[in-house]
Amino acid sequence: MSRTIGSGGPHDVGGMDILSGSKEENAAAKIDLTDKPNSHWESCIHALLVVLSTKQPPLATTDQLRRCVEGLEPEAYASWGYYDKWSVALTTILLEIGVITQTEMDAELNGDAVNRTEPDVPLYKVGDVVRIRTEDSRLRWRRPHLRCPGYIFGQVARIEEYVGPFHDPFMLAYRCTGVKQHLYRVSMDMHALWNNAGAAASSTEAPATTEDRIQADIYEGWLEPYTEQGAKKARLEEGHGQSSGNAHAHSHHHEHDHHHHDDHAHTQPAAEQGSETHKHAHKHDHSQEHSHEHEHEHGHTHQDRYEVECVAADREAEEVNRPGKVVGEALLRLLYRKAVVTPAEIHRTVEALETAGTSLKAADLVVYAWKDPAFKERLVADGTQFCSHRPCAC
Amino acid sequence: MQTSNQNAVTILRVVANTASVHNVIVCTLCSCYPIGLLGFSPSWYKSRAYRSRVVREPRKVLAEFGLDLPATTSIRVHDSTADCRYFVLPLPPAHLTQEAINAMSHEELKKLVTRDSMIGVAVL
Repeated sequence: MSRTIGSGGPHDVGGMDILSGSKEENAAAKIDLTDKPNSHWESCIHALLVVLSTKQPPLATTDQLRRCVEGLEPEAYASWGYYDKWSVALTTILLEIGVITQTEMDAELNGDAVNRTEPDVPLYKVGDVVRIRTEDSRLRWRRPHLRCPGYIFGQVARIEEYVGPFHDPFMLAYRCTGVKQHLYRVSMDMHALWNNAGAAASSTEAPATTEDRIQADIYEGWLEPYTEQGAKKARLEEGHGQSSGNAHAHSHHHEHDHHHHDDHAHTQPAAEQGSETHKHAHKHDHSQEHSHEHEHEHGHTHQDRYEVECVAADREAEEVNRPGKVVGEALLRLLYRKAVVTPAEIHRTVEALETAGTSLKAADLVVYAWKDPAFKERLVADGTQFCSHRPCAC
Repeated sequence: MQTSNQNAVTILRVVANTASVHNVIVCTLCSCYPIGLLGFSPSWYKSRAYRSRVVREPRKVLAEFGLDLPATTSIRVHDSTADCRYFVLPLPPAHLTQEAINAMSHEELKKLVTRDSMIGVAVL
């Protein structure tokens, strides 16, 4: 009677969930019927696959995309958004065939820090003073492989030892080697580390002496050169926020000045984001806090302009943190600059895909079939002949 | 209509609902979908919950979409794994006779056909 359900990987989910499980399982198995339309960047990433696949020779194919999506870490597969996964998969494909290089992609993601002319030579030497980057969304796409403990984010450190170059574990995880990452042992002043940690300081066991230090193994990508001038600028930008001990939750404002919705997605676990968006359903419902006022005012179920804008703003805020958005946008910028694809190609394709949704060609075929039994017979026998294109998407 | 992915050779299968058989489409492995004919797939179609459950407890899933199928209707779940794309040919609304259908314009009829009915999570 009992049978183990086979699985070809984290993507192979058929039959894995049922609704009659525990309360927690049921919460995960509940289908969110709200149709969240794509954000613009998501449509652009979809269009990017279409455009790349139509190049001669194709620069990316659906089959390659699937392989890369299915090769994601189970954790990433489960928690990343649909087009977040596409973004990383397309990046992986283009890295594999050399259309872009890891150095270019790193430069696009990290801007100042990793624009290396000689990636084989370590950037820092023993004795250099560096600062540990605060984790931000530009780095997050590499997690959990490119590791750095959160308690040293933003700390000034000294290079104690150059350990050597290692293959980037992120790239190894996605079955390509990429460029090597330089690994250093860095040390930090224990006193400075915990004295600035606000609430955490009270639980420190004893006053540390100035000689006490912490050493950690850190990849070069996490390090930035430390200068007094840079430090002053950073202090101004950070204000008082860094003393709370969970600095990484608020580390994105310098990159995304125009998204000041810190109270939304930033501190929210990824798993909850799906239910959060449920509040912004298209159909108004008295239980949904954002919509009841408009329901009373208008007595009908169209979204008004204000609400549309609120939903759009909330969605943007939710997305600031998403690794795939950051990778996807960086990839598009890089491909535009290298003229691999043009913005016009992408936007034309996005428009065509959106038009397919509004013109709903399948509905035409349905109507023909309703009116004409002979057509219906031919349609059911061989649908492909009635498409002037290949009706594919994955 | 060049909206599709040219590199992937695909076959379009249209599966027709009858009085006794209801069809519903899923792609459990990824999210294969006839985008050129139906546009971007809805977010729930890509969700783990839908992909996971509709092959195992389709009646329960369809009920969540507001579609309670009678026990006398059998269900065909179509799991498209790579090269075929499916859409459901829904039955016309029950109150419409063939005569009435023939008398209506294409555009009038087209307005009745919903995306969800062509995925199979709704009837007309």
